[in-house]
Amino acid sequence: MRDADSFDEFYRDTSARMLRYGYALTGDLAEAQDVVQEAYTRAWRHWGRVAAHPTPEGWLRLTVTRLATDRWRRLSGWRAAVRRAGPPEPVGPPSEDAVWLTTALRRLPGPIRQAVALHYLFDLPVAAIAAETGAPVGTVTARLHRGRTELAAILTPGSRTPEVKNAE
Amino acid sequence: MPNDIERGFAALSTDTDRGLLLSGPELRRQAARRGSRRVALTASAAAVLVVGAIGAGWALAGDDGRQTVLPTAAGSTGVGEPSGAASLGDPAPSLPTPSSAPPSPSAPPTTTPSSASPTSRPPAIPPSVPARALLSGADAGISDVARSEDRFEPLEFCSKAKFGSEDEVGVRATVRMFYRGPEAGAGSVPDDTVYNTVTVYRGDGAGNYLDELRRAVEVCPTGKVGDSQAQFDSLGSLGVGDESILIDRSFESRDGQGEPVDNGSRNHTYIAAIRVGDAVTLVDGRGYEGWGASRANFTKQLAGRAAARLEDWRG
Repeated sequence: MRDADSFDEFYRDTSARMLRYGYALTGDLAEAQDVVQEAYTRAWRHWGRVAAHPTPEGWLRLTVTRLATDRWRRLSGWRAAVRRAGPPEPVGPPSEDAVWLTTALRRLPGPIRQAVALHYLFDLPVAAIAAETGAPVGTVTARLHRGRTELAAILTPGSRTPEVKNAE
Repeated sequence: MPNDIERGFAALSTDTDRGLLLSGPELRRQAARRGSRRVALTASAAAVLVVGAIGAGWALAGDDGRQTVLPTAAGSTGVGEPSGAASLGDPAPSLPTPSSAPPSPSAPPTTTPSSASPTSRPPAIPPSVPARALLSGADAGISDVARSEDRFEPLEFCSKAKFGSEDEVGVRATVRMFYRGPEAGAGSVPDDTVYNTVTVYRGDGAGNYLDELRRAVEVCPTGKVGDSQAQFDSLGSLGVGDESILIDRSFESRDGQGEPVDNGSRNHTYIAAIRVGDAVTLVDGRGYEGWGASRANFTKQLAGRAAARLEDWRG
């Protein structure tokens, strides 16, 4: 019998920030919901092993990353069906600042977006990001530098052109 | 400006509170149902599912476990039990690591939980793989089919590729054969030597195997195959079965003496894996004298036919 209580506690403690992470990676909160729920579903099915992982939350993050990266291939059939039927959409419209950020993040290559999200949302140091993503420390440092530079260029108030705003 | 970035992430974090997440217990219940009922989700089914899902267990995401369960909607019936992930293929990340995770736990297979709910009965593993599930001489371009009695060896990528799903193999059979494309002349040498393996897995093994293949290509852009250096590229899904993947495995072109031709050209061979329920058919084109079936022929005549045969048997 898997330990439902420990899973529920883990889910309670981590799911909100995992949803933020999924949101940062996908740029769409509804898609992030799908990806995150799917990741936790898989975690529960393997809970005995995930719980024994040195960093269960790291396992979840990587699963979310993979699902977010492949989301169209893996989730498109289900999503298409659900979209037609009217899914449980996020409540209310997104804030303007969140739209700015997600629009900017979508312009970054996946590995850079991942590194930036891990740094800003989980406060992970470079070494931890390197360990989690399997990239050398120098590569992660370069990705963060490039990510910050590109985001800053997009997010600086003067650069918020209508074209950018309407990009998505 | 870094402050703009931080403000942006703060806004994103606040905005995420609009999101809906299932409660933990509801997520577990749906996972159990999904494990026991691997049904294809049709649009009409989805409509019912979603109506149920909105009312049954979705909650606003909040910090520190703050989750506000939405009011229950009426009409959650048996068939319409909420199942947000009911039709997804379940390529669960292959434990111990879903890619480049920190030191992965080499979880012993004996601890592997099944995807089936504790109250559901796992699907039966058939006693053997029938010949009709495998490519045969009746299929276009195929000849010299022979059952392989050799122990199945996982595909070679690089040392980072892991195939934990081997622990979940229920039954398996392999045939090898020669393949000639439609353009091959009479009496010509084969275009390809092909191995077709059908495996029925226990639990989530089939989905895990597809995940492991995708992961292998990801972490092994190159690797040793025999004595040759190979390059691996994912060509995406074939659009058949419940899920599938086509992999390009290419080698530097060599001349008749086996020396590199050094003109940048490559010889391509292909690998296809197609999952249908708890089974996977693997089509491994290993080439013939440095050549292999063309991608178009491989996809249509080999992978496509293998998928159809598996569908006929396990679909």
